[in-house]
Amino acid sequence: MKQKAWTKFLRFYLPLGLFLLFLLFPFYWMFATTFKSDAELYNLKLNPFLIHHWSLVNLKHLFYQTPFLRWLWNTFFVAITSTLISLSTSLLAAYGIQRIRFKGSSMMGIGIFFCYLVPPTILFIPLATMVFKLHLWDSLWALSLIYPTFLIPFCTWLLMGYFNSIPKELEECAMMDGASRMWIFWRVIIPLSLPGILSAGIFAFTLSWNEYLYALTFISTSLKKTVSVGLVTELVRGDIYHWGPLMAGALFGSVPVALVYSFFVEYYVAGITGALKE
Amino acid sequence: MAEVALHHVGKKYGDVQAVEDFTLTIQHGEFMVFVGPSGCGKTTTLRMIAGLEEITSGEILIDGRKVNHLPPKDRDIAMVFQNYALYPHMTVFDNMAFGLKLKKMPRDEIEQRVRQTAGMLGILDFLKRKPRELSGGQRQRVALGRAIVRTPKVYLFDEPLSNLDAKLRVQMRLELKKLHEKMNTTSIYVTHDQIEAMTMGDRIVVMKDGRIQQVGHPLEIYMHPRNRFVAGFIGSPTMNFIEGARIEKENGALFSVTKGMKLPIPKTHFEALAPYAGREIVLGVRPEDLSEGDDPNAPGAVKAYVEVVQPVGNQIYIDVKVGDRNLLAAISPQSAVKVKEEILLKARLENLHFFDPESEKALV
Repeated sequence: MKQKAWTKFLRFYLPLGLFLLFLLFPFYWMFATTFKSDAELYNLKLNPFLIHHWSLVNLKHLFYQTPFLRWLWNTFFVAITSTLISLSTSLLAAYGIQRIRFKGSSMMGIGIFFCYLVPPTILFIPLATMVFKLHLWDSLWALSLIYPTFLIPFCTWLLMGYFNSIPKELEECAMMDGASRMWIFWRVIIPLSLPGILSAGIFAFTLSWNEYLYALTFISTSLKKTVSVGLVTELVRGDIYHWGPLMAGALFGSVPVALVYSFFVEYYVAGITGALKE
Repeated sequence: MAEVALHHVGKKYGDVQAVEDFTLTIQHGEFMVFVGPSGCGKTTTLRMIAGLEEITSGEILIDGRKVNHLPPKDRDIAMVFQNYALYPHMTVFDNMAFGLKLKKMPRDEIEQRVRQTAGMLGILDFLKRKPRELSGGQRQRVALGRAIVRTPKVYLFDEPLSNLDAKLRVQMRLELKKLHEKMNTTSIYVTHDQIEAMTMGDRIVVMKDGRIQQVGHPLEIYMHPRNRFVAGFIGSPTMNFIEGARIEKENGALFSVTKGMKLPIPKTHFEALAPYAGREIVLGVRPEDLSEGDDPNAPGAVKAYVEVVQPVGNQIYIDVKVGDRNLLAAISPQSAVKVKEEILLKARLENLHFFDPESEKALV
């Protein structure tokens, strides 16, 4: 018995603990740096893992000397709009490809997947031309419209997998009862796919929230920046890193995402594993 | 009520012929069962009648109206699926009312119809529950109720009982049959279980490899299978086939002879079997046509050596060796038969079956 507990510790809790430490340490570092003054931060004689004198000076800097709240709002706006656009498009695409089975549907599915594989570092130059011609340069709408280019393929694939787990007979039965495709889609498929839709939504939201390259390329006005770009461009001046406010910004920038995740974690797991409770 | 007619219906998936030249007329109010091993095309045929599969050739008529290209909703049929296909996010009431709401039926009428049907099926207490809160049998009833409440012209059942446990299956079989007697609606029922087919069908269609093998009343198929496949598929335990049995002529009488067994052939079969004299055929004997005998000289007496004894209650199945072959016999439960002993069996000669070894067709 005793040996069993030991092996469980060695095989399960120890690796899990190490993994957690590895994963959570950056967050702790972010937190600790946020509440230290510069004097403490650069004092090499103090233990860097502890906070000796709590200080709010970095938060003051972040909230009063940079438009951080504005950046938060911008990021939120872009993340929400691009998520909504992507979800509504991918829902229809995934359903069409998975269930209507028209000629070339599987090829289309694969094609959409390939779109996801093209790296943004290649795409941002042609996209920049398009954004310019659409007069969306330096506008948040540019991001709202560009993000779906990688969100739609991703969400479509996730939802295709989820739709696949819904028994076909449900639709066939509804069809025999006299329901049209759209009726079935709204009344049967959407309600049953809520976990899948939610997890696709969470993914889309986080991906847009954290996006950096397009936001850096298409936005130049300080007040229109998103959190990820704003922090790096406004709090790193030349070779001077304002570590305190930077970490404070990173901490407050990651809070909404963490909240979204923890709120929907159950749906999220069900969505990824495609589990449908009958 | 409606008559369903299929004329030379075929279905091809690429190069695979799933159903071929299927011609059948199902009468008003008839309970027709399609039975066959998996992959025989029975479900495909049902789905073609439902309109869930396009047909490749032939035509389907419901009440004289050609429905080949009619969408499922316009065929006025209801289907009960194997996995019930209940909408998990709706209550039992909403599941049953789904089709009626789509028909834009007045609310009071929907309520009244659903309650009436639910009462008939004994699920009145569950109307507010979701499907996941119900047992398998209850879900099955809801699925039935959803079909019944619409009062369609034709019911289609796709192996509706196969997800239930054995005891419940027997009970639901009975209830389904009673329901059919009451409503008298044309029904087509697909199953791979030959007992279900025998007990429920007014008529049975036995299928194999996309083709109809035989159509007829259950007992007619049991008594007079048209070929070796049907003979082996219908009846449980399955028929014994003795390959290489010879038809021999002696003093104007015919016998089927194999090692350790010489069975006289009844006179009624002489005409059909005379041309096979001196040739090998396949002899078929149902286990229940082999009983314990007492006179070793009586016609149809066979000496056998008992290898396995399996009592099932109302009968005892014994696996015996006759010559160099193993046969199964279903004998009376009163028998004192023991393993590794000799036993005298008696074959019911008028129930012997004879098949052509090449075409496998029944010879009598």
